Amino acid sequence: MARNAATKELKPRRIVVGLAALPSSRAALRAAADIAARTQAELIALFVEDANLLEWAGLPFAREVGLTSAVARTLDTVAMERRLRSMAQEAQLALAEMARGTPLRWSYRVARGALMTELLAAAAENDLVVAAAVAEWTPRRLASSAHAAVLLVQELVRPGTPVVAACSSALPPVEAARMLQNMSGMLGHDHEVTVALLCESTEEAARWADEVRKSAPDLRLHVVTARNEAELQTRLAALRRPVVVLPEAPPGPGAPQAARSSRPRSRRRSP
Amino acid sequence: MTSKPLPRELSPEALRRACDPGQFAFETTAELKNSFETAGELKKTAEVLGQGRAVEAIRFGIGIAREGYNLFAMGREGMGRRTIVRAFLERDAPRRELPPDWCYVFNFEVAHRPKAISMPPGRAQKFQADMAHLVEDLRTAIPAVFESDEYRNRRQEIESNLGEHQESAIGTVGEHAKAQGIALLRTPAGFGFAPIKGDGVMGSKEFAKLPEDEQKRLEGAIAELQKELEHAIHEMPKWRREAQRRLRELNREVIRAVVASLIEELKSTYADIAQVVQYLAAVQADVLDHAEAFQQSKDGETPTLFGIPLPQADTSESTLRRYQVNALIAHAPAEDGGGAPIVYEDNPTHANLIGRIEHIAQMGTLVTDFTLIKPGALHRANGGYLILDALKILTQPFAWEVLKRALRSREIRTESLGQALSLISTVSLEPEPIPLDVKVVLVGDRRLYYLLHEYDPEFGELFKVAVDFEDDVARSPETDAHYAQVIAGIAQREQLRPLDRGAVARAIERGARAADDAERLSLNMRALADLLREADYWASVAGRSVIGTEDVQHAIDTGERRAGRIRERLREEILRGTLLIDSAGTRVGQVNGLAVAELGGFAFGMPRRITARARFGSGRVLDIERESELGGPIHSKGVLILSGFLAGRYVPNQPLSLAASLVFEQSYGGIEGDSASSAELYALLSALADLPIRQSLAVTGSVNQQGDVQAIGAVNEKIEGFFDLCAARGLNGEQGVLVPAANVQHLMLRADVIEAVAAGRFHIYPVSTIDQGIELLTGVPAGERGPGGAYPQGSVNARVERRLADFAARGRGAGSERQSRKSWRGTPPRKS
Repeated sequence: MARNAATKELKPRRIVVGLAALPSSRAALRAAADIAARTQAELIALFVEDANLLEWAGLPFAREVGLTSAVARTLDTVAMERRLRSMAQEAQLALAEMARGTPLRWSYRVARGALMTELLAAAAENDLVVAAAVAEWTPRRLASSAHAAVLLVQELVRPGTPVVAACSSALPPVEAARMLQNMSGMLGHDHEVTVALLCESTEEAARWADEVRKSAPDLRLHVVTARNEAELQTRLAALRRPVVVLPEAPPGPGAPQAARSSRPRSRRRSP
Repeated sequence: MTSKPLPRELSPEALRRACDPGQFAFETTAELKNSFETAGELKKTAEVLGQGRAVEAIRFGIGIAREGYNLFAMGREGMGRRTIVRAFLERDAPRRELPPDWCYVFNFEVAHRPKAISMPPGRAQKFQADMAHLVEDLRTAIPAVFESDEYRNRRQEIESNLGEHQESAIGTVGEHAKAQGIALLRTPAGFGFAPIKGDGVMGSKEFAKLPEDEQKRLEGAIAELQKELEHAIHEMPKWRREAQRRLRELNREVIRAVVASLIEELKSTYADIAQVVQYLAAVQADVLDHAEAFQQSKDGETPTLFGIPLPQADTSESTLRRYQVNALIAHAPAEDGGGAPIVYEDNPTHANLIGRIEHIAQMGTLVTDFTLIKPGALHRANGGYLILDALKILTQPFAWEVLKRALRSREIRTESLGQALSLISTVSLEPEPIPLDVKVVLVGDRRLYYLLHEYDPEFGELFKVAVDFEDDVARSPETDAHYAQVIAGIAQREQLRPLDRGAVARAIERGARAADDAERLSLNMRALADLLREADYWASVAGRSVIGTEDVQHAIDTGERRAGRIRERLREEILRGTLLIDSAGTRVGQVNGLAVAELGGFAFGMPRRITARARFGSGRVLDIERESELGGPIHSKGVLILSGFLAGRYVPNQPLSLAASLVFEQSYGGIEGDSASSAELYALLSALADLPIRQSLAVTGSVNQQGDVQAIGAVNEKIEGFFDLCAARGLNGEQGVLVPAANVQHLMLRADVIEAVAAGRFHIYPVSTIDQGIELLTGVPAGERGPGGAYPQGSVNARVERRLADFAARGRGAGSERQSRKSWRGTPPRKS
């Protein structure tokens, strides 16, 4: 009963999904829509037009080398803007199609900047951020920057797909227990969770795990320890699972939502 | 004056061979049911009446199991050809084995040539169901294998290997770029290189501010990096192919055991059918190659065009169709009761005979596969009998050709008409031909049989058994009894009221009338059944529980009345004087001939005025009908015979110097037949002898050069036609008809005609010679040549001969005049 109450209390308020000109964006959108439908949370889709790409397209020697054809094509800013706009529209249509005939509440925004920065700015505590993995944003960087859990998606995540939670021992165990329980419920894992823990000593890691177990006794916890960021990356790669990065220090309840909100250019809400 | 007595008019008894109801031992036909063991026996008896020859041929045709001994059941419509043939086939079929089932399956070697598999009857459907279950089992078992940890780990290993390989290659390029202050960017469709500034990309303005050397260095470095990246990307397909190969091998490896166990089970079930075992081995190999098709459909990404989802063919479903079985011919021994099939194809089109290959619309095109092969009548009848209407198959485009080809090659090759005629060249199926063993029974009329025999050289080879159905049967007390059984059988089968003896006798008399012969009975079962049905209706109207004589007579009368509009209109026109026909008085060179017309299956007789005019001429009898192209060849022949008769009988030593003309007055349609030739001769003799003919008499009969009157057809209708006219004007005791004596045996006249004859108000004279006829018509003896070679003075023949002799004398005079004119002119000088 207590657990149920906790789960209900800690149910994500919103699912914020980041979309960009990346192949895994569609998988991220599907995963987010799926989780939102299951948890009856609101889905916020944020398409980020990568400012770097626009800058790059403006360079006189900008050439795009095709991923499959290996042919180098010239580009300019206008063409890139057009393409990004088209992708944004396509993503919006895809979302509308997914939501058709379902009770899913959703909204759609377009912003310009860097994907992760814009996404993290748009998310508030108790939100779940879903995004395609970006090389510069390592789990460590994400954990220290985010104030909401971030699910990194490479391919489709279905209910029951095993995931690994990456976090630092700086995260208070009580908060970690709450978030892990929440994540387990969201992803349909029947309270079995693997955690890749960034911690300097194994003893400290064991203590941290014990504290978490105390706070969430019905959670079956498997902890994999990494002493530094490189080791954490290796561990995560070995596990070959989607990663949920837990924030190191989430702000307390009542923190303002989307304090550093992006500059939405368009907005649409489902009826 | 004449040595031979005139023929006596026919007595009422000679006008109709009545059927005596007293000869039957039953009161009503309901009693006849008990006379036979079963309804089947009754039916059999009913249907083979008078068809001994045909039955013998059917038995022979069914019995002989040799190539080309197919049957052609010929005869008139309504003779029960189809029913009798079918009855015999149904009796024979259960004694023969149920033929094998046939399936079409996918050909794994040549996809467009589906394989035909034969199997014992009743197993095709089971095989079809077993294969469907196998696919269902595989769809459960193979994904289960793919979901196993072992498989997933090994698959992920391959995929990761590929991913790492690719990432490493791209990553190396990225590292090289980073080392030169350049970022590798992921773009919507690939990669790009840009100089770095801080955390982001250097903008174009900032780039422009760089020293020229630095700009050139960066551009050169980026160009080199692009080449390096292109090289790396070029390598990727090779790695992907390798990964796919390894993945396929992995798939094969992990599912081999589960596939083998499921298919081995089926192989043991069908161990007795080598073709099936062979097919299952091919299935096993194919499943290993197409394991991914058994994966449950995923929520894959639907391709879009400007955001609109595109329709997508379900490739896994279409791959799985190849494991289906098309049970083309599946017998159910328990339901069929065993035995050879008997198939009647009512619409023998090309496709309905050899089957067809259907298509389904997919993505805007028409596609097909072996499951869409549908059987034809030949497939269904294979191992048994196929009954077809000859006329129908001959009128369907290419149906006759395809039937012959199948019979000749003894196999069924299913192909569309377009393929057969090479009209279309798109890829379609070429199903493996199925061996054919069928006995075909064609049902048609005699004309078709003889035409086919004459013009189609293959026909005789393929249809060696002619089943010739009789039109009628000789009448005897036994046949009458047999006919009564037929009537009882029809009444029983059609659930009609029983007939009393009188009704049966009347129906038999009608049968004789339909045969146009007092001594034969028509075997037209359809007409008989129609008569009985109609009689049953009239009995019901009259509230009778048994069909009586009056009901049968009423059915006959009403039937004639329904069809008799034209007959009545013609008679009306005669009575009103529009059509000129005398039935009283006398007239020279004019006689009442009798014509018969048949319209819509209803025949009726009607008198026709025939006139003749004679004068001196060149010895030619002019047939106006022929000159106006209204007379048929037989009619013309009859008229030419008259010239022969005249030339042979009169003034034998002198040329015939006669010019005569003959015509059917007020005839606006064609005239055919020689039944009026005696009437034409009477008119001509009357004109030559200048003797008037009694218009109260009508004449029918053909004549030969000797002056003998010969039999004609439809004698009853002709007599009744004249009788009806006379009756309408009032019978005066003078009227009558001259009929050929040879036709007396055919007389089955109506009761009212017979009553009039009995009362002396109408007369029917059997005539054997022209002399008898002319004497009856003129009242003047015909006369025979005396010892001196001359006809008696005043006789018809003497008058005719004298007239012709006059013509001949005038002819001689004219001839000598022409000769003298020729002599006066002299002969032309001879050339040296």
